[in-house]
Amino acid sequence: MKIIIEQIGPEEEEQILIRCRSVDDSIVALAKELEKRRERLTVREGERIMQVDPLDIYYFEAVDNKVFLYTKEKVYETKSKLYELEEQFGYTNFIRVSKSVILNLSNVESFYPEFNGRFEALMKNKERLLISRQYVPELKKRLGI
Amino acid sequence: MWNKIKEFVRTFAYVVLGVEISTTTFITIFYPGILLSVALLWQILACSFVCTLGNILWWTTRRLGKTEIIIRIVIHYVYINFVVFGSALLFNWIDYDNPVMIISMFVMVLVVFIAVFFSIWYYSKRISEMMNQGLKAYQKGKE
Repeated sequence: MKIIIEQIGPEEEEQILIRCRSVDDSIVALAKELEKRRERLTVREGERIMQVDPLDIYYFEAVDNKVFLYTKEKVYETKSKLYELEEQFGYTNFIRVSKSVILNLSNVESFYPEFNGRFEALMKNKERLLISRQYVPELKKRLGI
Repeated sequence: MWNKIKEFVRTFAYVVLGVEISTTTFITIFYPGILLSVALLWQILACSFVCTLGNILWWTTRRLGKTEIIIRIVIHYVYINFVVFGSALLFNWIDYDNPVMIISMFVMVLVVFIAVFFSIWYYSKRISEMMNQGLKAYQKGKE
């Protein structure tokens, strides 16, 4: 597959064109990921409303009907529901690993076995997240196992 | 639920194998040359099944602390001893007046318990190694 990057003038509109023989799941995933990379997530930090780049997100966690977003060092609240975020970011690096957590695979350092057939994800900021048994098959599938 | 059943069946297979090996050793030492009934095989399967039910102790959705893990291991081990010695009493496997036989059975339960625990942990470790390899490839592909 050839990758062509063409520089354009300031007056022209930027665009990404994918030319392929057939539109399969990998192409759809690629297109969705490119869309998501541009899309920033609106979050709250106390009274402040701000935008976060999905690449900076480590994981989302639902706690007592509220959804929080964790970056390397900060925690923000988002109005979106966990299932909405799963739908929105499911095609990108994000994956549901338990009933209350969606994590960003790009920011996982490694996986460890837990005692009871479950696994733990060690994030790049050294936080540890539990991976429930029922989500392990999907995770393995995503990792090509 | 399906994953729990799969895990239960896997543990059951490990337990049956461990119990089968220890029973063969036990019979060879204490009852050499004895003729056994097919019923013993069913008894081993039944005992292994009830022992495997102890896995329910680990069915929790939250992360366990070190102390909690140790407490559960001890409860699990006591439960298995209770099941094995209960089965031994029910099916007349051992002579309760023979302390060597009782101690041997204790040792066998401990060995099988450690072996099954280690096998399950080793299986999970292998899976996590595969996941880490997959993760590396995934992250490289996304760079």
